[in-house]
Amino acid sequence: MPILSRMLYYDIKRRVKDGFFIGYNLIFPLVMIFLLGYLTSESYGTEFTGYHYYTVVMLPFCVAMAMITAAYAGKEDAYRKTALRLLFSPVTKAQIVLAKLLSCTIVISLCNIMVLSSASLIIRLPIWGAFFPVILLLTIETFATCAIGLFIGLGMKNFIIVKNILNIPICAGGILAGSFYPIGTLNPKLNTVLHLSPLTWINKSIFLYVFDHAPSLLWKTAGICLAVGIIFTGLAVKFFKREEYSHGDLPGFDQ
Amino acid sequence: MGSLLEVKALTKAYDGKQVVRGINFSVQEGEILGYIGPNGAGKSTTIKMIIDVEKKDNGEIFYCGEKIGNIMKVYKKAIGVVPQEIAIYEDISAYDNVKFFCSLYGHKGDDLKERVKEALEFTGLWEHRKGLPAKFSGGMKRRLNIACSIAHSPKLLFMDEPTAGIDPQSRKHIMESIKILNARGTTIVYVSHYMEEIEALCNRIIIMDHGEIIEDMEKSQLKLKFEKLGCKNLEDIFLRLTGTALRDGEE
Ligand SMILES: Nc1ncnc2c1ncn2[C@@H]1O[C@H](COP(=O)(O)OP(=O)(O)OP(=O)(O)O)[C@@H](O)[C@H]1O
Ligand SMILES: [Mg+2]
Repeated sequence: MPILSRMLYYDIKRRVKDGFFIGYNLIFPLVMIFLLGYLTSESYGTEFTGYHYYTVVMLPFCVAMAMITAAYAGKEDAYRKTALRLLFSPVTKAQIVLAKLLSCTIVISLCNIMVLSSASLIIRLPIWGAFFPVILLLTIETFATCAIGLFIGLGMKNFIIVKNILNIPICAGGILAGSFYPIGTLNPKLNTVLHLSPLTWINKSIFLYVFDHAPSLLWKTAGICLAVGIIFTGLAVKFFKREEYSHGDLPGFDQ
Repeated sequence: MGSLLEVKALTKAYDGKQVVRGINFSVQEGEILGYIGPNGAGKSTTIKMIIDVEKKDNGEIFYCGEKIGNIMKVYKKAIGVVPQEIAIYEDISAYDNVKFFCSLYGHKGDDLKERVKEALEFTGLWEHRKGLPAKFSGGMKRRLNIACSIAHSPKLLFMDEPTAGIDPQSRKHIMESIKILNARGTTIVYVSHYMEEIEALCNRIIIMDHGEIIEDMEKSQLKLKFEKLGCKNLEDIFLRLTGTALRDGEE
């Protein structure tokens, strides 16, 4: 346990200093919310504004994008050659995986809290009664996406390929969930398609909780995310291969 | 003094190509063993298998008479490795690098601080402890690479070309440090392409080529053996044994 907490501490420290990491998870969602909210401000009323809409849909989408960040975090030690040091020192593969997973989850969740608090302050998102449950759902979603990202990242040598592969389903899921443009439909077939995206369920849970005070879907969604996260954490530890972990070059990566 | 480490019939192939071909050797407690061979001979691969980073295809490795697989935790705490490629975090201070890697061995509190300080002083980096390695010169990075590997006081230290690409000043400093470490009781396996280093440091020399050990002898004996054949120094012996052909990505 003390070794894991040491690893976690330094991983968090390095993640907080990582401009890309903070850019993707703090700056990007804020910019998107304000940009899209501003561009669409005329299509909404005064009670429920475009800013409100995009705060709710952008955060889960950015958390899904964190899958790529986590995959990178999983490969980073290979590129820095420090993977070798972790492998020959007396640490277990579970410690290596958990340190990465928890550091990503914690730092991204802190970013989410900052984005959600600034959004609720600046654009008066009526979140106060729902702040804690929404953050909890986002944190659990972060845990799940990071676990999936790590599982994939740790198993593949080339991060660029991982990134290109992951980009497609994440963006498709985002489009279906209305992350970029609201999609509402009465067509039952299309509706079924929209609900194929996990992000649709997460967005819906938050909308229902915040605006309709209907909490049950949020708890169900959180439970499913938690289960997915735990399963992928187990898989990431089980399929951790020392060779895959230490090998890999990132074109253009120079220490 | 007995064998600290024993390697038996170790083999490794990458994509069907035999890189290490059933080698046997041992490391005696207290010695500095020179491990040399041309580029691509399989030196780093051998070490990576011994330190449990790379899977071996076949063979056994014994530490103090026990299979390392049975005493992995004890074994890992007892060894230290200076990797051929510099393995440090460039975005945290030199001090934090040493502290982090040393803490993985279970050291904490004042003991940890004391060890970090000693390792940094030992490698001449104490004044630069707050600096980011990203801004360090090549020689400083190499020395930090060493500091990160010795702070936990390993009994058996593997050094894979620890002086590659550095100036004579840093090299001299590292040479002196290795002698001190050894005098304090650290057994060292030293891989290098610099024959002067091997001459100056090692008691015994293993020469590897094409994945096989072609010579394993006390330094003095080795020199005696090849003196008759007109070899004046270790470099002559090395070239005589391994030939003068270039080793560029050969099969
Ligand atoms: N991960 C790998 N995948 C495929 N081939 C590899 C891998 N690592 C090493 N090799 C090959 O194995 C052979 C031995 O490599 P190794 O690094 O052990 O040589 P070395 O003796 O340390 O050489 P050098 O003096 O250049 O460091 C080389 O031909 C190398 O190309
Ligand atoms: Mg090598």
